Amino acid sequence: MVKASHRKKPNITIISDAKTLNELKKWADSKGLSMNGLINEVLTKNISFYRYVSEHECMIIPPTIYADMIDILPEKTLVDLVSRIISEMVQSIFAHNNLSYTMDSMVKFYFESVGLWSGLYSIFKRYSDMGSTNLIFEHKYGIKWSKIIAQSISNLMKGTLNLSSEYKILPNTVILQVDKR
Amino acid sequence: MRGDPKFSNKTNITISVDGQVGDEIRQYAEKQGLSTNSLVNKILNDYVMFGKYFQDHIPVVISPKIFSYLLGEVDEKIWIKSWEIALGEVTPEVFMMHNLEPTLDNLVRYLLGNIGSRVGIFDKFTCQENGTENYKLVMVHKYGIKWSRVLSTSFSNMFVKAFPVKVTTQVSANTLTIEIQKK
Repeated sequence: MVKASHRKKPNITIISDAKTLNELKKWADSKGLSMNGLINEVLTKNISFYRYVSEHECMIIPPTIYADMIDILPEKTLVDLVSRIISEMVQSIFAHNNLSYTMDSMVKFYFESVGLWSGLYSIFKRYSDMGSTNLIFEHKYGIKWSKIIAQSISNLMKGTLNLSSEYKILPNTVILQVDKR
Repeated sequence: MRGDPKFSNKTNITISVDGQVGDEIRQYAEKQGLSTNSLVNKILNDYVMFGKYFQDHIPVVISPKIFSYLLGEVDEKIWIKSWEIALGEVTPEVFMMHNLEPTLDNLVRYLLGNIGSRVGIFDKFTCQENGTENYKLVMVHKYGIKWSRVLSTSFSNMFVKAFPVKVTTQVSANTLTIEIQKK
């Protein structure tokens, strides 16, 4: 995982084909970014996540297949499985980057990045009120997946940050209210 | 736009990279025995190839251990049906996205050859062409005979539905061979 850096930005000169560069330019324009901004985003995501995917020979499967698996397998089996996946991934990220377990680092280094990129949910938001931190996860897999995500992330909060949480489940959204210590 | 790289010619660009990202890219390139230029190009090409699809569909990334578990738990017929539906959805979209003609050659070389191994459904892919549009495809993976059968059935059905071809397959624990002959 790449941490924020205040160092001077060095230049890299690359030779690339015009077709790729044209496509990147279109992408950058559609996202309101400069080419430089887009390429930095792509390289950061790659070095933080896809390098791991490639080194561990992970499989990238279409959402329709994943939806079928969710339908078929029992909820408890999936909660155990997803809890284990998330816990192993978080421990690996935190160990590799020498991070301490805080809500801020959990949000930055897992929920806003790896968790999102790995397809467990498609939108993540966080806001705080007086006594709790609210984590919002949106996805497209229905109520069963909401329950699985809610329980798995609640387990993660307890296991890593020792924080209790309550959750509200909607068909494609989970609102996890985590106690502040 | 401000921040756009300088194009010294059609193919040369200079980009300003965040310090730690640049260091990590150089180290990763070295580890893989690649130049920084080759690695950055590979990353950018992959982004062009997958970026739009990934943004629209958000596929799921799972480790080999988890995939093996899912493969073992779910019935083979369901896997085949599920893959056939997914291939039916993904294939036309990928062709359209990359402005490719839906030919047998593009299906073999682009969808299977380029994309298949990159998304981890198999680890190695070879394609021998014998004559005009007669192919022998070999895919090697690590998931056992059930996965060989799932891939062999779904790919065969995909070829037969889309083109006037005869398909024969051979499966073993970690390898499947698909021969496609034009009728």
